[in-house]
Amino acid sequence: MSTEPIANQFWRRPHLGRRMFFQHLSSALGGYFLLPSRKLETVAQAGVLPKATARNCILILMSGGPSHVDTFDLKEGSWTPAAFDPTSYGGVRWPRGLMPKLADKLGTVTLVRSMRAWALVHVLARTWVQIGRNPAATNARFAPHIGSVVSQEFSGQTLNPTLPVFVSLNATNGPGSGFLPTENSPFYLSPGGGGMANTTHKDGPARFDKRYGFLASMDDDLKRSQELGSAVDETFSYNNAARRLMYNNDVDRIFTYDQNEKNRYGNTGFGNSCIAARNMLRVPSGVRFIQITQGDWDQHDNIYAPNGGHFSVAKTFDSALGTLLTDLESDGLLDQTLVVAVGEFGRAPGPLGSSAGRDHFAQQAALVAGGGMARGRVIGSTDKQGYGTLDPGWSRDRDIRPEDLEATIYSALGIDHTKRLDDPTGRGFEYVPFSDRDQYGPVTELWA
Amino acid sequence: MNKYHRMQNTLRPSVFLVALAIAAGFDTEPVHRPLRHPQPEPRKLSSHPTRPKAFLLKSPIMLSSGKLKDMLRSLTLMIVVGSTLASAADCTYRLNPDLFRGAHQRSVSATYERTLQAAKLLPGAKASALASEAPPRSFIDEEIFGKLAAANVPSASLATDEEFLRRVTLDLTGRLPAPSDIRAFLADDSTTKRDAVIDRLLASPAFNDRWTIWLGDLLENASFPALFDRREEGVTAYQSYLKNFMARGSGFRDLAFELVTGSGNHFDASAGAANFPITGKTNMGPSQDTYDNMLVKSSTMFLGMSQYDCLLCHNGRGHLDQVNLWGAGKTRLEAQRMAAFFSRLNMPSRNVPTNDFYHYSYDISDKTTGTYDLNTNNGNRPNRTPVGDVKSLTPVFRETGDMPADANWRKSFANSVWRDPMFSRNFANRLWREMFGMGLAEPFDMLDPDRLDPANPPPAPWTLQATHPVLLEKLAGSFSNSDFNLRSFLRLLVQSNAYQMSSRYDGPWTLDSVPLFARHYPRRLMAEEIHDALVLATGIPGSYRIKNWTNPVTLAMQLPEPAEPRSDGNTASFLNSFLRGNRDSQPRTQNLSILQRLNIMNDAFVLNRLKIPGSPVLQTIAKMPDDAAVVDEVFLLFLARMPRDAEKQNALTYLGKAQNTADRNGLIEDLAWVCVSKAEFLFSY
Repeated sequence: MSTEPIANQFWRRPHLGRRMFFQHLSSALGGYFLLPSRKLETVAQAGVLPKATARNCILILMSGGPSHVDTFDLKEGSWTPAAFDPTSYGGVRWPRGLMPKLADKLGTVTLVRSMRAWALVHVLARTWVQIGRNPAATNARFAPHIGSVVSQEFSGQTLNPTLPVFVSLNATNGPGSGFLPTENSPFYLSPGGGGMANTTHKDGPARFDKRYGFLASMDDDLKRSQELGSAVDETFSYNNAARRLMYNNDVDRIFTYDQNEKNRYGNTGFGNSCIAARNMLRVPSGVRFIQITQGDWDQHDNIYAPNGGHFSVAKTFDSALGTLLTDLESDGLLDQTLVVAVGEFGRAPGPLGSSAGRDHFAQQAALVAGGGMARGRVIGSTDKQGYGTLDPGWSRDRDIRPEDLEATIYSALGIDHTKRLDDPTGRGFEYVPFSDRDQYGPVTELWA
Repeated sequence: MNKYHRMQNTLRPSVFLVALAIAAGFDTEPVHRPLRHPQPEPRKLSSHPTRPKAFLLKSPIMLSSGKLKDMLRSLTLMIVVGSTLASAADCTYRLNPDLFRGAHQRSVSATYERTLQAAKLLPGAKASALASEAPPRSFIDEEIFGKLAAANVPSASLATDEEFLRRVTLDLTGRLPAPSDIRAFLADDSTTKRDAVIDRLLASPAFNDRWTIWLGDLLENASFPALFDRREEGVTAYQSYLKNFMARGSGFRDLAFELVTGSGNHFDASAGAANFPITGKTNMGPSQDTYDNMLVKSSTMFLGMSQYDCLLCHNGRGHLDQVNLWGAGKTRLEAQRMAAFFSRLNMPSRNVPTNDFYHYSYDISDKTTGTYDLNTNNGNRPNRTPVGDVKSLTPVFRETGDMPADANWRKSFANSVWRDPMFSRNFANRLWREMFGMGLAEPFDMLDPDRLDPANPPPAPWTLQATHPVLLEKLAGSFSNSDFNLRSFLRLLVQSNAYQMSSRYDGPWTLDSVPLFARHYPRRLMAEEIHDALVLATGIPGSYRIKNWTNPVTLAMQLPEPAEPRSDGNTASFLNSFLRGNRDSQPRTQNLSILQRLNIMNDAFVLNRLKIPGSPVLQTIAKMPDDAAVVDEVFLLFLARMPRDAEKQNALTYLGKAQNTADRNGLIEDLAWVCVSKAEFLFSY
């Protein structure tokens, strides 16, 4: 309780009536999602027309910084292991031996090669990608995650949602809802196929029902109490909302899957998360923005160790993402779901460093698919070894930055990236920083 | 280039290549459109209409001094390749000043709603006398009840012994009182028993644990904040310093002095205070960014004045005019002179092999020369450029004009900061907020020095910032008169009738009553309190391994930071669901969530502790032959109160269904589960 800025908690109160307030409370989870989020005041927006081609977004955070020259922007040299099996697909060279499933998907995805990070320290750059701005900027102290902004925009749009708008899989922490109401916080889950955590009672459903009945009866006299009034009922709706998630078929359909399914996705934590992500989109769960954190891409030493290092992490990535794209496509969900895979930065190009690894590097690359984007494209090109951008390949004619990627996601989802909300300091929070000067914007070429 | 070559001897070649490539490939982005403002510019107020160039980053790599070496080596190889400046263009409260000025009103609303929420969960015995009718314990009661009387609002009654004991034990030590303590306290008919229990709690080791956490939150003791790495070694060294400080019982003057002047290697437990100077470390941009950030952290933590964050980018005029009277008259130059106290900080990282304990650590010391230079063209704040002939700044303390007496500039700051009247106001207000649920002045981290002194009120239309201006000044005076002693000050607070009011309130309750403190305001328990309540009630400790610590930690209140326990993911996510924050970007919050309900009802951390075979405490209770005694004991254990009549009848009927001992044990477990699942378990009321 100590450092909570109470000022952030309840915006613009007491605009909510008491009834509304308790409804609001009762809907709180990382599933406050049962009710529409409070609207914050929009103080300005430039009024750009978003593309609005996607309903959902899956952001795959390739944590640690994947080597762009060993993945999406393959650069071959004396260092390249034969097992990469570089192969041409149209004009694109791809390490087929490393990522065979995605090789089959190259006609579906777009590779972004003119991308560049702002910073090379992990937490800083990783935060940068997720909040779409400089974490060291003064107002970044309370900057929300991109998914939290999406949640603020979309909460309440799904009738009887099972889950909140913004779910974060395979991670336990990261940027949160910032100054936005807490109900927009990432809902962290690490699904393993055995159901959603704590939606069953270890001592069995019968014992739970008995206990739950006992609990309700224990407060009977409070509920009847004249002096406390009917509002007492509302305080119990919390337990009831939690109860509704337990032994719930929709929840089970998302979080319960068998070993065969897991094997199809590579039988890894990341793979399991991809299955859950797919399932969340299959049932009308209310989820619209899913972050899946993957990887141990930070390969400073022995990056090409057989079955280790880069090979291992790339295999995990390829098995799961390749299958996810296949499933989303056959479900007809890919067209409405923007998939973005990106790390916090790239890795040093050229020959390997002294410990046979690659260190942090600003140039990076990303993979984009679905969500109404064009297919089978490459945006931008880099020099021979991948040190820097030769041709940005997009209208702003410069490197693509995390802020541009953020604007792209908002635009695809139909959100005006120039929107400015009131914020705790009163200076106004722009969804994408410097929108008033049009410094960043969507990579429109992705749709072309 | 020679300097580069010399410095990068010990570096991997690729790092150097990175630096070169970045230097070569850095792009300066065109500003597409000139700045524009959503509303017309008021005449003569300076903002940033003609400064677009200031936002361009021309030279991303800092070629100066040993900074590069410092940066390159601290690395997990971080190099700043450019950065986006703070959006100073929009740093103005003109957009929506009401929003900021409404901060106090929002805290009132939040408190109001939380109070109502808790009130419905609480049984509460009908209390005796109104608190306002009891003899005042100190000036606190005179101020609080005087203002209530003037507003013609009745106070709540005094809290019952049960309510008081539970509250004060939680507030001071973060624990529930043990059943034996409750029984003894209820049986005691001494008129001074409340004072006695307060003294006992203030002297307990649990008090040190709880306030070590409080200090850790205040000082942001986290291993991996966004801007630099303190790492686990730094966190544990800092935590052990703070815990030792609590055990010593020294005043906050000593704390501030030791922290501000902290030197040595911050991984060393003996130099734990050296973790303070790195708190402002901004591993990007020029060193002035770090000096600025150090001032922002110091002024926010010690003086309750975060407005230096604004002033270090631009003058107050034209920005703070409507929200902070003091800040509105201050200039960026004045703020930078204040930041100059940190401009001789020297914090290189230790140059040792990667497998050395001290790898990734910083050595903190002071240079004997150096100034705050107005010469930046990159970084996280607008460029620092000469003002007239002034090209570099030496320190000047705010208001007093204190300047360093010798070459040690940090020491000079440390000597001035506790003398600043804002120092005691800040801690008086923060500690009041902690005990009473709401600050006297809000926002508590943006106090306005020019609107706090009732003897010198601000010109209209400004009003004094605190709800009880005289009280806040007296509290601040009392804090400084007691040598800034935490225990003395908390004793003063919790001995008051104002603190000992019931959270029940029988009259009409409106928003207008909230700033009057007419009743006690409930709070939700911290994650650590919930954890420890379950551990201590059941006698089943946690066992969490902390890096480099010999013995495992058993209580959450003894964990060094909210990222722990890293060794037990399930417990960590249980704790996270109670929103304990990360001491960086996420503050602790009191929001409720359905996830919390799911975890309380179903999580293994809870259910495993509510099984009689595993719990020595529950085993003892299960051996009691008398059901009525069992019910009382279980209520005392988890809820720290006796059951109401209806509850007791209900529980007795439930236990009465037992066919045999095994059956009865199961029903007792159910009763324990019900107590933990009752919403009041999660409140301090």
